[in-house]
Amino acid sequence: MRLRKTALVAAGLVAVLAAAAGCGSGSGAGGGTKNSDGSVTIDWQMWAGSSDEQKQLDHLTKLVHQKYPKINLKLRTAPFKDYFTKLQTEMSAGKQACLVSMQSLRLPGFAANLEPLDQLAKDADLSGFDPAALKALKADGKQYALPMDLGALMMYYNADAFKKAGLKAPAKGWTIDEFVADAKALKAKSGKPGFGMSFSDLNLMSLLYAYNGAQPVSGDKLTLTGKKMQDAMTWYTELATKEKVGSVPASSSEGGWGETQFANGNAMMAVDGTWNIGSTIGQAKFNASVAPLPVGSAGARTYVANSGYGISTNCAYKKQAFQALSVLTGDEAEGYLADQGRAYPARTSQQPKFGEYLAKQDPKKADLVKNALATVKDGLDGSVPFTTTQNWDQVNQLFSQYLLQAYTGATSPKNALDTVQQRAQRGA
Amino acid sequence: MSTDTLRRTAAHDTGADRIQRRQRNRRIRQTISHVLLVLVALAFLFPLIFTVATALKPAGETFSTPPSLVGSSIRWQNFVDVFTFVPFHRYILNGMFVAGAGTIVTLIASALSAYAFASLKWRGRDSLFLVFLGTIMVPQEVLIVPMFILMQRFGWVDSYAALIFPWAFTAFGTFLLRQFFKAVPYELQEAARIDGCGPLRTFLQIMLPMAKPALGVLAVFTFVNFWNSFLWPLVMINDVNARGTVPLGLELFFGQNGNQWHLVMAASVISILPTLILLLFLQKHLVKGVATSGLAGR
Amino acid sequence: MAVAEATRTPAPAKRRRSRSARREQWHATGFITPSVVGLGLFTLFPVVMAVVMSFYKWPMLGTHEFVGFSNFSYLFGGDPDFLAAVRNTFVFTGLFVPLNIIVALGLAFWISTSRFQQLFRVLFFIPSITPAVANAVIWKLLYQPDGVIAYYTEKLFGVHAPNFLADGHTALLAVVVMSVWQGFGYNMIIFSAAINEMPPSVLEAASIDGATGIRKLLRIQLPLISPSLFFATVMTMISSLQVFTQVFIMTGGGPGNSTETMVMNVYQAGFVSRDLGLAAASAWILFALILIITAVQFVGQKRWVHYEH
Repeated sequence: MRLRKTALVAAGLVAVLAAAAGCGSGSGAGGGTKNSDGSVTIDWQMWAGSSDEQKQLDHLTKLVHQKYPKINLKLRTAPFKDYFTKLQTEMSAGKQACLVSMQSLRLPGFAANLEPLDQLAKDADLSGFDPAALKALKADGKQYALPMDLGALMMYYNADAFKKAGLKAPAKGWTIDEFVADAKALKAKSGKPGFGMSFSDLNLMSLLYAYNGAQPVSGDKLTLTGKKMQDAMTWYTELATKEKVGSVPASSSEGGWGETQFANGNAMMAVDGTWNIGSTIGQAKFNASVAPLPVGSAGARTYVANSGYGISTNCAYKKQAFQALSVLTGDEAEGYLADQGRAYPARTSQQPKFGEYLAKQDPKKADLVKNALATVKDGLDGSVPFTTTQNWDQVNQLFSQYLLQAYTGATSPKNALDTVQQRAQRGA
Repeated sequence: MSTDTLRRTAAHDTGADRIQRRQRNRRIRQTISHVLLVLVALAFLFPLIFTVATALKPAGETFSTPPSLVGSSIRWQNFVDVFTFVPFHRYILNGMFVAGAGTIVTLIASALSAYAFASLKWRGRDSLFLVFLGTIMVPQEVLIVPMFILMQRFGWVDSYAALIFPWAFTAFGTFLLRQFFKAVPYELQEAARIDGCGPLRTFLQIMLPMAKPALGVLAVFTFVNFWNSFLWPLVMINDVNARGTVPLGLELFFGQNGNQWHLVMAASVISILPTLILLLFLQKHLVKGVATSGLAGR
Repeated sequence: MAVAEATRTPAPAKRRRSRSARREQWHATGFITPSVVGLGLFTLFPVVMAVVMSFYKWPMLGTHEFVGFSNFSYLFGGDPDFLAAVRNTFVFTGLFVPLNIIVALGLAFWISTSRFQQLFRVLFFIPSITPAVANAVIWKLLYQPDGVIAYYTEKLFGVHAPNFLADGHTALLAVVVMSVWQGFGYNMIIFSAAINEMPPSVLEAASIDGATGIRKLLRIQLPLISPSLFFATVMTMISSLQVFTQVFIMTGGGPGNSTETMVMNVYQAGFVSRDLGLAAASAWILFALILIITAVQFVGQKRWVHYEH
């Protein structure tokens, strides 16, 4: 009798355990579920940070449902900086979504888990996309994702500070030497660093690429020990150690140092992607503008980086997933995101909407915006997709720890690069 | 000779005088000590004061030379903005749920086993208790990797269950409650038994009510530990906006808004509030709990 | 105790007693089951599994294979960051534990003279129960190059402040300072309680004997609270060997590997490099170190800890 009571308590505990186990994300294998009414619920994994971003994505899921009433999208989000780590853990647990949002940089590392779309997209018309945007989402010649946006790395500059220092605003064709000279003049005039430095892959590597064409990855191998890369890194490091114009990140955990210092008015220039044009120009308390990256010894160079959506190989509803995908990358969806100022669309027909949005936000800054968007097209000249290795998270982590040492002068740029190269070996 | 005079003056000094003088000296010393202590406490609290101050400054005024506690205006709106910027309310609700459920499971499991160890006689009791004590030494970090695999096998990755159950079975809780149960007079239990109460009734009607203070302390600290836990949610939760807890949300919020210190500080203040309120209301018990058991953070 | 209970139980009916003993055994099983299952599943099993995993190449994606001691030999031979992490963890512990104990002890004695002891206890305890992430974010703000600490360093000492968290010479120290601020509250309360429980008769006898100041502290008071001191030291050391959150938020392990700690190493190996076998090996070494250090402390306590009887 009493024993039974004890057993009851134990059983209760087990029930609690089981119930709580059931309150997980509830997504089964296959990245989606078939419902009793014949409709299909497809999981969609995407990054989102702010509540606004979340709302925009919710709207996109509604667009899909309107077009295909038998398809429901179930959105799962993680912040961008953790997104790819999380994606890995989900894949290792076999819980990845059917629809997977993918950034061009990370595509090589995930290509094995993504379905090549060439077959599914056979009948689809891809001519509406900017070719650069499509190209960035290819790996081994296969299209693994369709693009949501188009982006490239540019130089953001504080137009007010340039004017105050009596400098000509940077424009297409300005050179590396002019960049350094301007940074010095800005520093002399404003007392604040002329350039916000970074150890984040795109922000850093695009300027090195512009400097002399040095690239960190060739094929799928990390190549940090070449002469070109050493030269470029030495030049970059000396912005802080020799020229004293660089603002050095305050710690290895400051991934977005350069951009945020710029946006706060503490650094007069910084490299950042087109995707931040709207927020940076809009929020800055000064007149911010963008220019193409300065031209170095290898001619005009920058990286294209953009994002899109792919379908995972274990997806049980590939046909429906592709239907959803075509809505997500369709005119209406991309136009909507442009209207919201979220992204510079990959669909050429929708691209003007982004400019309209920006001009609407702050009529006083309309000219800045127009100039900036003209620059986006200019900046795409000579651009290539940024490719990465499989263990890119590890490489990024190593960058943050060891390149900072070079920036502060604690070690030489060559040493820092060698260290990263050597330590990344094992995970490669 | 000189010693002689000295002695004589001392003798003239009446005892009452001496005591008065000594008391006055002591009072002065105590006042100085108090003032210094208050200064030390203020210096100690400065980071928290500065946090609240920054949380109330308008954007872009975080850094100023010289540093100041007040911006150009007091901006309460920052605290509202935190919630519109990220779903911070969601993190709070998740944190409450996980910490609440985790606390309940911990209390039930700990109390049951503590009672068995304290009041029942059974074979293997002492050796099993040693094993229990041994597990206290195992650091959470050692378990993270295999636990991750385990969660995969359970299909618990990115679930509340993964946040609640793995850390709800602590030998520490068992140990703490066992000490309390042992202090319950044996006669009381024996009397209950003679009245025909079985172990479960004895446990529920005699032992649990007696151990209320200990249960309370254990509950609060378990709650705080769950609430503050960072590494495990960091590893386990994929969909942060759906299942993220407060420290996780705070860290991610910080990563995304590195330039918006005023919002990050407002979020920090919000994240500190629940435990601070617990501390203020239950200070006597908490302090006593730490003092008697040394309940430390996980 | 067994004897006492035996005399308490009436002597006759031996058979009945053995039946009730059997029944009690069953009851106990019921009571103990949740904890045993939970601890077994979520603590003992993972500990053993960690050992097994440490002998495998176990990537987060894909299949695992037995590799013998290669994870360990990589940690000690091929991975300079691991040895740096061990060194940093020891440096951190070597600074943090003494500082923590001294500050906690000093303040505990100090506030014991105050009428507002309880108030001060609560004040100093606040950071100990607030989320470590919040504390770390707060200190990160203070340590910014144009932040408060840099300003006052220059103002008061006239030296140009280093970029605290980016400079390999100061980063770990900066983390230690933050950690002491955050952590000493627990120990202070433990000590404070021990101080209040010092028997007045002993203290009085000591002052009659003329023991004052330092002598009284070293000869009388510290030995009286030595059990608390021992307990606090052991617990603080165990937790300090596991330092992670502050480092993760404030310095990310850098610059270089100057703030890389052992738990940071476990996290990076497992969840950044996605090499779970390596992470398990690293974690196991940490566990072994904790066990050894704790064992040494327990052996050493006989020399200085005085238990009252």
